Formats: sequence, structure tokens, C-alpha cells
Amino acid sequence: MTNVDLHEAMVTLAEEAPTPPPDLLDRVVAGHWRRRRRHAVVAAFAAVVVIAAGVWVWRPSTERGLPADEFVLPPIPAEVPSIPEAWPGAVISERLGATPDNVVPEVLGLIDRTHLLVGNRMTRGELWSMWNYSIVDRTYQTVRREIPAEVSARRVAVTARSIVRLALVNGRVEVWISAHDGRSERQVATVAVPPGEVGGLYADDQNAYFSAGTGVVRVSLTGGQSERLRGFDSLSTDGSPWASNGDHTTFRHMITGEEVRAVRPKGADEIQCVPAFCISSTKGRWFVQRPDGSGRTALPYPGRPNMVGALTAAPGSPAQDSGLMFVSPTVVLDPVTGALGTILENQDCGFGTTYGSLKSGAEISWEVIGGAGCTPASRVAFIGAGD
Amino acid sequence: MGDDRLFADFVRNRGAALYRYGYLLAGNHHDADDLVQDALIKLRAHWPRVVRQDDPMGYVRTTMARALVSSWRRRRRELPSAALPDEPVADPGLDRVESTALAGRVWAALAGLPTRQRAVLVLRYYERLSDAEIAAVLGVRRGTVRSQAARGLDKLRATGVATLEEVTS
Repeated sequence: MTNVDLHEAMVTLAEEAPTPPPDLLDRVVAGHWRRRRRHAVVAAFAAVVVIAAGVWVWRPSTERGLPADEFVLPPIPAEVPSIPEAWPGAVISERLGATPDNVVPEVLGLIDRTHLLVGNRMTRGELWSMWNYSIVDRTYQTVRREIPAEVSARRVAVTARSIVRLALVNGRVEVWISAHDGRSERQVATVAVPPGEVGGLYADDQNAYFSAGTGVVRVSLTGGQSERLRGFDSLSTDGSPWASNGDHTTFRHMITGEEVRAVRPKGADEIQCVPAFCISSTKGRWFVQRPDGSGRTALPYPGRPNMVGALTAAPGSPAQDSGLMFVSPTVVLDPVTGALGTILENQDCGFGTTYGSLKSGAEISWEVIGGAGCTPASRVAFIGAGD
Repeated sequence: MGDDRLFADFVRNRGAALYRYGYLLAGNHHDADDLVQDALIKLRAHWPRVVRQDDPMGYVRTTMARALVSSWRRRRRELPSAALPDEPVADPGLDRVESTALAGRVWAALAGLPTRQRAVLVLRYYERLSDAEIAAVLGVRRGTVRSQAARGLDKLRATGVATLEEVTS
């Protein structure tokens, strides 16, 4: 039997697999909420124990190798500032409406403080459009139409002067560049890549970076030369300047070469990292630490934190790398600066949130659904390092 | 909410594929069911972040493979007299296979492999991942993937069902 036969045998075997139960989704959703309630109960109990212990006697923690002021973890005040107040440099927009293609677009990047680059698939064929969206007057201006390759945040980067995009064509990656208004578009390079996923694009005005197969490729935007970067085997890109391994515990900066390896605390059940810090849980208690394990400090918030994403400073920028996490369902914290903001000033309102990384920053979308005294609203905040 | 709808679509569209993958990993219906449901519950908790990274299938694939290997580790800790890592783990769910058919013989041979070796072979030959991708999925070094694959293939050859060549990628 050959290796090919082994694949075919496995495919045949897999056909004997059970069919998903008709109520699979219901079971999963019920399990999700059961688990969340359990976490909340455990965290609340842990908080009670911590407070009780604190009342009994106050003494410095022996679990930390560094002073407590290494991370700034303020208590959540009765009145939490709103996200625009907490991060005055953040770009805030209404949720986007449909483009002239009659499709709600995806945000590809920030052009400036009042304009977003957005894109959508057109309703006919395998064609995409890119638009310049004005946050102020909520209008779309055409950047490019009928692009014959997928346009998504993973494939497009906005630099100070240009729009850079990748087009995947028959095992090759084409690199294209244009001005912010779409003019002067030209193909910079075509790169043959090995089979495997092509990672998210990061670009500055000199180079484009993306992972392909088992390494990272750098393409000069001025000369078109491409090369595989040494020391990036097994790392992949996600659109930020940091390439990382599969579980986001090793990061390597594609411009400076700086490497960050996270140290998992002994006994930790879970660890989530951005290059500037990690959060981890041990027996239901959550901690923040530097990736190397130093500065480990218990989070003084009940409940499970959720990492939003990294805030990565541009090389040469006075800002420092950081990141955001939800420390309650409505409150976001930057543990490096201590900035704390809420998506919801009236805690009685119904709401929904989504969040994630946006190139060198983080994107948080929230929707106030309703409730007594609540004004329905949909907002998106784009927060970067230094905001 | 949009997230709920996207997640529901994902479960509906990918559920069957996940069950097939889980079945090969776990070797029986019951454990496949548990693997898939646990992984989807974890996915739901991290859905907004995972979907932004555009790879929910990769997330679930990784979660299931790691859950399989770690459950095997836990089992080993709870049973001090249990087999060493490279010895076969008995799996009664695999006994029912039809030994004459090729697929059945492969199934029986896979059943005799330690869980990690089985996971490596399923990821390599069923999911067709490269060794680097398998290393990322399982959270191990690429050399470990190669050694586990080589040992697994040796054992398959020893059962007489295969004359397989080691593939490096």
C-alpha cells in the first residue's frame, strides 16, 4: 500500500463516522452557557476568598517577582469612562452600512482619522471592490472595482502612503501597490510559494511581509525582490509586524528581528499572549505576566478575562507595545498603561460585542440593543498603541 | 446577533466534516462525539477572535487533536501501571472492524497505535498537513512529528497492511 492508498483508506474509514446529531448546535450553545456560568461562579467565589483574605491581613504578594506597579490594574470604578474617553486617539465610527454594491463591507484598514479602507465581494462573479469610507459623512468613494482576486483584511494592508494587496493566483502570490485613492496601481512582484496557507499581510512603505508554507517572505515594494526571512520557520503572519507560532506563544518581529517567547507558568490551565504580555489561569485564578514569566500579577477582577488583541507600536514610534483585554463583559483594560474604558455607560442596556486584532491595533464593535433609558447605537472603535 | 448566526452556519456546514475527522482521531463514535462537541464549545467561547483570524476550522482541528493527546496523557497519569507512551493503547471501539477489507485492516492497524502517533498520521494523511503545520497543531517540535510519524508507519508496516514510505515536508 502506498501513502496515497493510506489517504484513501482513511477517507473511506471516515465515511463510517457518525452523522452530527440534529440538535448539535443546541447542545453546543447549551454547553457554552453552562461553562460560562461555571466560570463566573468559580471566579466570584475566588473574588470573595481574595477579598476575605485581604480583610484578614494585607501583605505583599509573594507570587510576583517584580513590584506590583509593573502592570497597571486599577479597580473598576463606579463610573467607567467610555472607550472614546479612555482612548482619545481611537478612531470611532458608526457601524458601516451597505456599499454601492449593496453589500456590508469588511474594514481593511485605516487611511486616516476620518477615512477607512473597506472592501466587499461584488454580487456577481469572483470580483471584489475597495472603497474609501468617510466616517464623517458616511459616504463611499470608489478606490478599485472588479478586482479579480479576494480582497480581505488578510490580503490588504494600508501604509502611510499606499495600499498594498496580495492576489493568490495558481500557486503564486502577486503583490500590488497603489495610492490611497486607488490610482497608479501596479504589480510589484510575483512570488512562487509552497503549498499551504498564506498568512495575513503586513506592509510598511518599504516592504510587504506574509507567511507562506513554513516561513515568512519579504517583498521589496520598491525593487520587487523577494526573499525568505531567516529564523522564521514554522511562524506565520496575521497582519501585524509580529510573526507567531500556532498557539501564539512565540513571536518574532519581522522588521527588528526581536523574539519573544512566552513561559507558561507551572500548573497553568490556559495561557493567551500578545507580544507585550500574557494572561493565564491557574486553578480558576487569572494572572497577567510579561511573556518571559516576570511580573506575574493576579488580576483583581471577577470573571474570566478575554484577550482582544495586540497594540503594536510602529518602529521608531514613542508608543510602547501593549494590548487590550475585556476584564468584564463591558469593560476593556490596557494593563500596560492602565487605561480602562467601557462600551456601555448604562449597564442596564442590552448589548452585543465583537472584537479582534486589526493590523497593528485592535478593533472593538459594540451594539446597544435597547432597554429602559438606552439609545440603540452601533459603534466600532479602532484603537492603536499610543491612543 | 451576527456572531450567533455565523457560528450556527459554521456548525451546520462543517459539522459532518468535523465528525469524520474526530472519528479517525478517536477511533469510536462516542469519543468522536465528545471531541467535536467540546471543541465547538471552546470555539464558541472564542468565536469573535477566531473568526477575525479567519481560520475557525484550524482552531477546531487544533483543539480536537490536543484534547485527544492530553486526554490520553491524563489517562496515563491516573493509571500508573498503564502502558508507556510508545506502546499501544487498547481501544475496544476499534475491535469491530472488518479485517479483510483494506480500509478495515488499516483501521485495525491504526487502533494499535498510541494516540499521538495516530493523531500525527491522521493529520498528515487525512488532513494532508505538512510536518510544520502538524507541529503547530499539536504544539510540539517538527522533529517530534517526524519521529512519531516514523514510528507509526513502522508499526503499520509491521502489521503487514502497508509498505509505506516516510515523507518529509
